[in-house]
Amino acid sequence: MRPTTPPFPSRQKGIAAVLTVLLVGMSLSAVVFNAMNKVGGAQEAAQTLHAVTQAQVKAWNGAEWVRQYLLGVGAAEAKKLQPGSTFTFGGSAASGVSAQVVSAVADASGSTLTVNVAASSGGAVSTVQLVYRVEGGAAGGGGTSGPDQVITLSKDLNLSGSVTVNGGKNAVFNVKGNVTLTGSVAGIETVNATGKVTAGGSQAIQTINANDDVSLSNGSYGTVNTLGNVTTSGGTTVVVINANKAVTFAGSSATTINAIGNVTISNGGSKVANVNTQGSLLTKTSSPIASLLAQGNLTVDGWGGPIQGKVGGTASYNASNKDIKVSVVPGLKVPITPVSAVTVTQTKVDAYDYRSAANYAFDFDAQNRIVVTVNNVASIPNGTYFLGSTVLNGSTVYNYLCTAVDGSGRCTATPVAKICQGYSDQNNCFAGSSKDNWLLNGTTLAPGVVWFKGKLTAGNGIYYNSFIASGDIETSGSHSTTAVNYAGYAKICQNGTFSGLYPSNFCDLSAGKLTPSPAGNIAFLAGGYVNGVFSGGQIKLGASNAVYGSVLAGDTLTTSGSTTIHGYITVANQGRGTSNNWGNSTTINLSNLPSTFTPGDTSTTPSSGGATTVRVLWTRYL
Amino acid sequence: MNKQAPHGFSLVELMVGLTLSLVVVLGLFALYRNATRTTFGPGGAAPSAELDAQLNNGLLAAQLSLQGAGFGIASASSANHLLLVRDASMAVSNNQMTVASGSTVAIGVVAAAGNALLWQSNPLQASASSAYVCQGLYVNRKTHAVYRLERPSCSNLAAQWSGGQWTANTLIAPNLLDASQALSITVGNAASCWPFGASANASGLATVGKVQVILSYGNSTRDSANSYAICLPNFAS
Repeated sequence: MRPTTPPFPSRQKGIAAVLTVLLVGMSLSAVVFNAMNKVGGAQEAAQTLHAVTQAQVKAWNGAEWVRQYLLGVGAAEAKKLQPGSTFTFGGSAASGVSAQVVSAVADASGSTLTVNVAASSGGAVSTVQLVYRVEGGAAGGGGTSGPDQVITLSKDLNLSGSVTVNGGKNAVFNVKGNVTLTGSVAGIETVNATGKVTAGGSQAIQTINANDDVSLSNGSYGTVNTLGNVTTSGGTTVVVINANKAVTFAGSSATTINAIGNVTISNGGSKVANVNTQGSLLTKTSSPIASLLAQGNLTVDGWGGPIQGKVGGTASYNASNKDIKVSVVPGLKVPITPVSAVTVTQTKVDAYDYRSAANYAFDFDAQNRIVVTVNNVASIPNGTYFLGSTVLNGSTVYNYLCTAVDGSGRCTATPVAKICQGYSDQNNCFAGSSKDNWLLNGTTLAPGVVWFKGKLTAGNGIYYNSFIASGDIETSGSHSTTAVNYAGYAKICQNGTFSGLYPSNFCDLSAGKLTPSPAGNIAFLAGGYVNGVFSGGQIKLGASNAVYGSVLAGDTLTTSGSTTIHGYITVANQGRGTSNNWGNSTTINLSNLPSTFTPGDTSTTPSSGGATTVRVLWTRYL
Repeated sequence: MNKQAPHGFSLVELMVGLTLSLVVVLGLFALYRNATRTTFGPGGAAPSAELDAQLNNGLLAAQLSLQGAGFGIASASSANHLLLVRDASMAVSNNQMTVASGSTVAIGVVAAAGNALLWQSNPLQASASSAYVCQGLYVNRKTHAVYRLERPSCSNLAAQWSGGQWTANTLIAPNLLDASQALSITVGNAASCWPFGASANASGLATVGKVQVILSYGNSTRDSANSYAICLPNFAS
């Protein structure tokens, strides 16, 4: 029997329906897979967000822990942190949190730290970058072991007078700007300038570091390092010149010239013993060059002197000069380490930073009465007092602190203490003073840090005070100021004129010694910021006035006649002036300094407890 | 001769078979229609998932970039370095945008709303303001798309924002959000804030932010109203 083929309808057996089911089923699967994919994607996004949020919370916690840490260790320790320093956090909450310092910049008042805080959670990592500002908490006293940064100026210096430093160790003269010396400096080891240095005077300076061209026409120098060109002329003698650009030498003599640029010895009489250059040498000198290494060419203009060395390029000289023994080494490399830039820290001078450190802060109130805020003075409770007169044995005597005064400045309450000794008991130390313009004349003032709002003109008298004024400071007449730390225990804590009145924060009676504090290193500090605007800051020192302590001028320092300062000078040039023009002679005497005096430490001290402040300047995610 | 049994189906068999397959196919089509509608239809699983995913990622990107507002600028303030724009409209060409219209809104204690927020930062901590960059968030009022804007060398935001070109990155695609879900940006000066409140503000030593940005939006859940509060601690006022 032959197999029967079913007729047509039977052969199909519902294939259309089966096909439809199959096709629709496949489409359905596609739809479902698509939906799964999208939902899965959304879930992953949600999970990521969740994990990132967790990581962010942890990172911000870490940021706060870093702040607490900095607060705990204090500003001095925070200054020691270097890029790369890491913080480790303990505890289970801190797992997965790490922090690292990426940049640390320390300055006079504190340090600025950039810290990356990274935290991970569930595979997500969040990194928060924070910039912390750590200030305050500077330790009092303590000698600095580095070189004496005797003068720091924040703008150009034109010195036509003289500056002499006696007794400093490796005295450093820092200028943020150009330096033009037509006068003379003596006793200064190093001049650092962020701009050009032009020296014409007859000085001896061991090291000049400049970020721009150096031009020397006289004097003798040890090492000159510059990022720019060096030009010398006249009788200049230099031991070593290191220049990142060209050197043109027409001075008297140099032992070694290292230049990345070309070297030109343009004076026939110049004596240069060694020349190393990555450029070419053009020489006119007939003096011997004992060693020459030049990557470029050698050109001897004229007969030349004896030369020994190698050049990478061509050597062109009078072939009859048999003393020139130069071999040409094609591709010669002369290794010269480039000079790195000098940095001069801009010091901020703001009298208001020191107001809380003052033992006596003088101001006028709205009724034009003198108000004195007393802080840390033995025998006087901290608080605000009026300065007035009182009647003693039938005569009116001045300079008393009392809690209330009448319209003519007479104490209506029992005076608390006398804080200034005029020429006589009947003379007012502050006669003629008006709001923001203080006149101080007399015999002496109660020792301690005194603060004036406005300009202070300090006249006659012998003062054992650190004077800080938010305006200008002038000294005149027969005036002598000794900073608190300089004056020492006997003058500050056991003074006879104001018995029992001593700045208690400076005096350790049980140990019988002075406890130095940074504000006590200051003899004069002038200038302050009000709402971000600087005013005052000009210090004028009268002729022959003696200053024992450091001088910090917010704007400029002017000396008249010969001035001797037993301390450092900082001129912050925060005012409008563009340069410092010093025409007179200034002597800085750092010999025989008392142990309690640290001229370079004039940082702001908080009034009590030396509290460190840590502020977060900026934050961002990385 | 044997009468051969007839092959094929009887009419009844055919009718029953056709009816059965019709029922099955119809049911399958109904299932298919429902499945596609719940997956791809309005409010379906796929667009909802995409919307939520884009919101999650887009807002995270917005937050990460917004946190850097004011970075590196000394005494950055909302008055000078942050700009809220109302009714902003930007013309797009490739990924470059230029401001067509919009008016700035003062940022104060009372929070104000807008559809573009622009800010300055100094990521390199350079001393010159020419190195500042400007960034921003922009919500298109018609398509409800969200863009992140950026332009280099932006020293004066107030003067420069309305001119010149911004480079735009799309954070949330156009026409994904409807009008009720659209992102709105509210900015106000807060008394004090800190990201995640992590700072021990009580000690009074931490710098606290004074600007709070609230990003409000709706997600795939109908009539949902969500908001995302971001504290900008770089702004001291």
